[in-house]
Amino acid sequence: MLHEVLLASGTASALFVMCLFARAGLGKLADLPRFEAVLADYRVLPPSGLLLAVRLVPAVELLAALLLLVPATRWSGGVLAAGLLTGYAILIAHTLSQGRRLIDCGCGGEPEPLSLWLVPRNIALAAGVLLAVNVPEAGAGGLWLEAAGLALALLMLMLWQVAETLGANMRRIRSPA
Amino acid sequence: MSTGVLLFLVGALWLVVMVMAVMMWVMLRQIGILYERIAPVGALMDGGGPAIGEASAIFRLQSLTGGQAEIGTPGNTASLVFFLSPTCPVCKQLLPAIADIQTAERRWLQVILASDGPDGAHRDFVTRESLAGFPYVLSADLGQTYRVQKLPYAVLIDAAGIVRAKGLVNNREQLESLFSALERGVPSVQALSAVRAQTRQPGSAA
Repeated sequence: MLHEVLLASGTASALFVMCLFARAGLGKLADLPRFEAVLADYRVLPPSGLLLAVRLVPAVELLAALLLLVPATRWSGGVLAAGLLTGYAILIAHTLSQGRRLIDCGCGGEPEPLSLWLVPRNIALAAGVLLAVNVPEAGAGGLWLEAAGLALALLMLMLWQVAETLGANMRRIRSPA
Repeated sequence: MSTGVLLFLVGALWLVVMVMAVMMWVMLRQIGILYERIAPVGALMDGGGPAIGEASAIFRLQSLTGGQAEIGTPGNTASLVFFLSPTCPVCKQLLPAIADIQTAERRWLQVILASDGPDGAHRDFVTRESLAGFPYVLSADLGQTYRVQKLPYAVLIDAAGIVRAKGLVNNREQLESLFSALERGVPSVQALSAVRAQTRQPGSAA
């Protein structure tokens, strides 16, 4: 019983992170100029590397999403996703330590200024996805479990978007343009 | 109760919660859009450079696209000087708006693109973005005169050579706000808020 609960919540969590990466990757591809501006704001890449990274980052994000979606490759997808999330957390912490917060985080979804809260958020997501893909027999739960997990993941994504939009509205209230 | 009924109920509940979450999200987006509609939109003006209402310094510069561009000389047309750079993505996004303005306001307005630096990269940029129809000048002096610190930046000078509006423009609305400033005689959104605050004070006829 406990194992089944673990397996179901692990599947749902892994698929939720899959949804986040799919949304982030597709969002970046849909508006490459905006992502280029976001990356340039981070000031970590030379102009030549920027052009490559603008295309490479969404491709790697979509790859992570794809690997997480397929049960057989879920473990490697989880490791890749956790690596990306940790990398972003380090980048954000580094940028904040230089005192620059008024740049878009580029996390996908609503534009969001950098804040310290994004660092533990990313670390928590990375830890969550690592735990999820390391549940024994992860990815071997069968079609029904996958379908139920995906349904739950979509619901979580929707609530995540709701929370993000709430946050964006709060910022609009605090600082009218 | 059979498992079938239970499964159906769970599925139905999932659907209900999903629809509610989607509705909540749409509603929040609408609230966000309302906030953005209410907020005043305008080019962000900083203090440096020639003040609004002052005569602009006069520049006669060689255009990369041929001919000579004159900035600040009294004449028949007003000028919009748009400061940009080939490496600034927001500038690229504004180019269609700039082209529209040039076409629609041709009778009274001349649009001049301005930048600085070595001209090779700029010539490539002119070809890549088909900017041959605009005067395109390179002058560090021009940017320094207007204290351009961030791009894209625009300055609107009327036919008499007087600076009428200027500021950092990040989107089409902010660009258009420069023309509102010219029409209404209020130089910036900051000035507009000041005017509004004054009319709200008790005792004034608001």
